[in-house]
Amino acid sequence: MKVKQFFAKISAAIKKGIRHAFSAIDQFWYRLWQRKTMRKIKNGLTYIPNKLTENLNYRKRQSLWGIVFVLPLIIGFIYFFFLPFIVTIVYCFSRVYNAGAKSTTGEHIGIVTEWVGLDNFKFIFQQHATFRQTLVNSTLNTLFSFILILVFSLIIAVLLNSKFRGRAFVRAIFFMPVIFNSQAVDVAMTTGANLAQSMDMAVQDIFTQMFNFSDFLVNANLPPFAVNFLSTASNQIYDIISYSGVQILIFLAGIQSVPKHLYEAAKIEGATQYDIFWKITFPMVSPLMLTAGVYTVVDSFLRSELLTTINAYKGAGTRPLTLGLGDVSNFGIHASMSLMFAFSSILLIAIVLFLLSWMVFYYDE
Amino acid sequence: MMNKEKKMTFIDKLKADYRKFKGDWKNPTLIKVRKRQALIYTGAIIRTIILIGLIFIILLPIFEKLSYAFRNPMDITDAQVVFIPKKLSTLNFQIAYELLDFKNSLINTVILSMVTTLIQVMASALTGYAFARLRFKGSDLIFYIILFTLVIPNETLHAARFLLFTYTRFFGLKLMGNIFSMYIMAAFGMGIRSAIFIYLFRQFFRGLPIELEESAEVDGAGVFRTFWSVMLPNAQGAIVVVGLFAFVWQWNDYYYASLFQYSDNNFPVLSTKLAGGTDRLYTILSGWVSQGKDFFKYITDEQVREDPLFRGLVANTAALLMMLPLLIGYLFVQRRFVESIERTGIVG
Repeated sequence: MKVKQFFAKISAAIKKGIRHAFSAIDQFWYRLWQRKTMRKIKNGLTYIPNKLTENLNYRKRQSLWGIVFVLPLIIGFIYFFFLPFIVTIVYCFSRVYNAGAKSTTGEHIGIVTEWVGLDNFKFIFQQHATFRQTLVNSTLNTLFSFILILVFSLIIAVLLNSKFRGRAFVRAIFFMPVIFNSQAVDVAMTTGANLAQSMDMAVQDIFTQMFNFSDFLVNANLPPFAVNFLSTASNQIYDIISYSGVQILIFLAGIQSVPKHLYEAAKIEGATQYDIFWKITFPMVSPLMLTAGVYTVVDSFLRSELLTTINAYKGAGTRPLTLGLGDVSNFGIHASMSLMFAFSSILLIAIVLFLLSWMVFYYDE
Repeated sequence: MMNKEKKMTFIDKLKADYRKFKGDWKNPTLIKVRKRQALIYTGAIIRTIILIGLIFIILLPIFEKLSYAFRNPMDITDAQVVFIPKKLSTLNFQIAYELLDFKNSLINTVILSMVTTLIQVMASALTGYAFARLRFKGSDLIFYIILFTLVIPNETLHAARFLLFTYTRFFGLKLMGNIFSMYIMAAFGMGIRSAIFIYLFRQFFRGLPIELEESAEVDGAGVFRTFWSVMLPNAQGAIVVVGLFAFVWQWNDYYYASLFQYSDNNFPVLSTKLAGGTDRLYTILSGWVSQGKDFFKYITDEQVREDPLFRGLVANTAALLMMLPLLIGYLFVQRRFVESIERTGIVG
């Protein structure tokens, strides 16, 4: 109890201090601009904008400010996204190499691109050993895990929303995997995979044979398709949990924003929790299925094995093309693979939006 | 006599209870009540079982990591040791601490994450507010184009970005090997998944009542004043959520660190140290052996030093060290975080 009070006191003091500091800054700022010299400077600076916006009404001034607010974003979009995107499309159809400096004059030439037509695509589709397979596999896997993640996160959101003892604790634990999802840790642990495997060996002998889920399902005379589905789902359960943190969050926020009077009316009419879920919660949350679905597809496609295939061509260099003339450059291969990646991800999103649009319901107040 | 009477009353009581029970058993309203109660109880039991199982699955890797971290490297060849270490040792921690250059890279990572979070929250709040309320012609189109950036992942643009950033300058600034490039990306709304944050803020500001702005306008506040002193203090829930995600994603980020290459010598960060760690580990370790570092006198077995399991053990401990500050920080903010999720009010 004392510890709690102590922490409460400390946090209250910190809050007070922050508020104090902010108000001090505010007052200082106000007084600064109240001085005569600063006022003159301000008037001078804002003379032209004020003159220009004098005749505008508030609505127009607002949209002007809107353009000002969005301008950095547009600049950033053009430089950090749009230019690389266009460059990637150009690289798809060309051989890219670094010419470096001219030997005679020392003049810097830099990157040179040379039109090769569809050679890059020929390489990735006809010569590359695994790319086609990986593309199809990871697309199907993404679709599969998309369904699992969406259903799972909706169920968990409903569970976390109901009232029970220790709810805060459970919620805190369920958002922990969001924090632990780290690419760097994954990279580090790929070498540590041996460790986990050999450590598991000792445990596996006893438990896996006892609780072998797929054996159990086979013995229960289920068709092989169902056995595959269920056993992969149960093997992937940790991945599914750790990838569905954001989706749980979205659904939880959505459930919270459902008007309370609907639930009250349903309870008075004598509806069970099951009815309430299918008749109220699910339709009200369904618009969020679109958001969560698109996020899931993008996120889980990013974790697919396709990306490791692409990343092998990250650096500079060339590969021989046996089916055509000359070599193709790594950058070109990388770009064309990336384009296929983007295409399939857009295709997936279109499929997902089409599938989900059947069950979306918009509530008009 | 008294005794008998007492006994009689007891049996009578039982009989009365039984009769009452029999009556209740066939009472249709009570049947419904019992059904409802049974449903509620079974629901609670199933929920508890599911939640306990899932919590076990979530907590198991952390427990495993802890148990591996405290294991003595000499025990890796011992088949008897599975989860509980025979002898507690902090040797792994010492090696991982040295390997990550923990003190420096922790400070650097904290600075980087804090500054980026601040910038990202500010930038995405501004643009989100502009998209929500300060509409102009084509603002919706721009918003959807920005959302489109989510669809095309960063990794696919890697080659083009790498060449573009090495051979061109952004307003006279060289982006490669420069720590400010991360801040610039964040400020121009192209940081780590900034589009999600912009979307979140837009939805949040759309949910706020328009009367707030109107009253501010009547009181004579300009547009920026309205945003700064009226709208932003009301957006605390969204700020907490966005801030936490921005911080965590920046902390765990490896892609941008490897793109901008800012961590080679000048700015070591935990994630790149860790990702480069295991590959470099062996050479570093052999170097340390020749230097005669302290902790190698405890590893007497030559085989253990060259075992890949030993490397895995150290990598595991390093990963734990990277997560630990986040975990401790999360324990403090989790209540605030979970509360503010409920108030983000994402709609549609």
